[in-house]
Amino acid sequence: MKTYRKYFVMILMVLVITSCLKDEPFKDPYEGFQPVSRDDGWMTSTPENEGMDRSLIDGAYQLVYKDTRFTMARSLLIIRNGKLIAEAYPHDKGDIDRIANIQSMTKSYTSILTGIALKQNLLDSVNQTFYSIYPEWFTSNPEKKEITLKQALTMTTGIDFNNNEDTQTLYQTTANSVEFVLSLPGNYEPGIVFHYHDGAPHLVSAAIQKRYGKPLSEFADRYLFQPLGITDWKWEAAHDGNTFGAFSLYLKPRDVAKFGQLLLQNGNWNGQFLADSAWIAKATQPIVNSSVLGTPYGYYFWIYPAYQGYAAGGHGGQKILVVPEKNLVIVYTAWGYTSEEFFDNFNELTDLIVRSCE
Amino acid sequence: MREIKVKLILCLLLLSGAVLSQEKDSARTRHFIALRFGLNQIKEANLHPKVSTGTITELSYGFEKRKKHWQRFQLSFGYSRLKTSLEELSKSINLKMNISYSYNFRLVKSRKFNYYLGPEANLAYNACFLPNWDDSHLYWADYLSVGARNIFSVSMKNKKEWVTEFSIPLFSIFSRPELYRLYKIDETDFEGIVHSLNSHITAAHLTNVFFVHLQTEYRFPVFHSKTQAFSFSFDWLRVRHDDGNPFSQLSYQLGIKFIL
Repeated sequence: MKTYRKYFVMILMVLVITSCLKDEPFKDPYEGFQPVSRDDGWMTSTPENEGMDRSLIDGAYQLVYKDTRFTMARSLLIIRNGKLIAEAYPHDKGDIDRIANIQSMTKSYTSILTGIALKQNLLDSVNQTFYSIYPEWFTSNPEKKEITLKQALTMTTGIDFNNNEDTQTLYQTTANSVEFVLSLPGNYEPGIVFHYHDGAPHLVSAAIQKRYGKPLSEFADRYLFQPLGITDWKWEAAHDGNTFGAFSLYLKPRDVAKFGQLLLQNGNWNGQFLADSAWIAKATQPIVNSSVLGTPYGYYFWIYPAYQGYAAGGHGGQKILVVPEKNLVIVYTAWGYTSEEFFDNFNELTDLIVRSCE
Repeated sequence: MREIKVKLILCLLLLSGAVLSQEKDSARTRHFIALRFGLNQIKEANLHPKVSTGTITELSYGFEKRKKHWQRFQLSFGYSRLKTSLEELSKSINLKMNISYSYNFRLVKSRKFNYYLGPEANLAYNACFLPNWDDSHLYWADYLSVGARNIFSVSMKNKKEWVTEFSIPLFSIFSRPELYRLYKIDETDFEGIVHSLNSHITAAHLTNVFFVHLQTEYRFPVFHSKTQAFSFSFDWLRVRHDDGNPFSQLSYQLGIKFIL
């Protein structure tokens, strides 16, 4: 019996010592950043041909592949002079063909679509009140009648929408989603205090939907995605059918880059103006000072005076950075549901890339 | 429909065991409560390939009937806080609930040693929330399985006993979240969570759901015919949908059990 016991204890000890789950690497080994040629509208090139310092670009990719601050990175694409000069998909090479949630970068799409809607006279002007577009949803909240499109575009509606709690309710409510946003307390007079949240772009989305007669996602498909050759996308909507103007647009990284390039080209795509260049110019200029490190904010665009550029930003540290002076677009996508513990200091990455432009 | 049929068959198997036991075995039912503490590791590869590690506390209640055969029902709840090597604080949560019933036939009998083998039905809910990595979705690996439980019992002096058991599943149905999900903040009310945990149910073979439960306990009488036991258990679980990545879990626990 003692012998059995001894063997049994030995087996248990072996189990304890050897049985542990093993960590695996997050990312594939770094194999360079040369883009592949595909029939998707992108011309490819090299850093040298586009006047860029290869070693600095390599440093940027090393950072994305090896630094824990970029643990959840899914893609980094660099476009200069309209050509794709670098791309890599650290988490999974298959991400090149996979749509993913670009989170709050969605707001910048809503901004450009607002410009298109204004150009088409679906909306009167940025000073138009939402009440003039959908008065029936103000019945319970008449004190919000004066909120304008411009205040929503600059995050100064005064509505106390808290993303940590109210975004989830907005997502889940089976009642009217616009009325839900309007029902939240108004903490400030509209037009005074910057308060970044997901509610304001939802009001804008509903305004376009009301005037267009179809959801914002269908408006986007017709006037933006199809002309850009974007066929694989998804844009989620609230239970009442209003497209979320603030989040949950799903795109492939190369298609996100097309949006950046469209902005860089002032709305011109293959000789056709898809977006209003005057609107792009206005939306990407500082209009208010944000409460986020004082970064200036346009119409759903973050302004980066140091680069003389602007960006769409989304959860996970996702960014489309446009630097007109350098003829440069940078797209960084990441897992979009991560806490801020796993993303920060995007500037170090962009500094390397911007500096690589001669 | 097929899944419902499978569930029904498993439930019937479970019930038949209970009925059978009432007919043949008139031994006293002994209730027990057990408390276990230990190390817990999970790897949710649908999210990322890092291992989250933490402590686990598990509370069980059950009863067993034992004469010629040995049957046992057990209900357990486990709670664990975990973190990966990249995190500073243990923000991830793993909740487990397990209901099992087994009916074991005595196949070997001697003065000191008995061996029992029989079917075991096991319903396990295993849910994780990893807010640092994904604050929008719940992750889970649930299964209902029928398998084999082996029990080795060694009698010692003064009514002391050493019981070792080992079980594995043979057939299961299981539920895993889809690999790519929309920005669907999982319903956070009770109904929504129950719905999530029972969605996407699939029939499994051994490579989809595999677990090993190994436990050894040292039982000794205390007072008024009550028994106490110290235990060590090892659990390894791997659940993988054909269209997704695996959920793996490994835990070691030390426990104390009071058999009334």
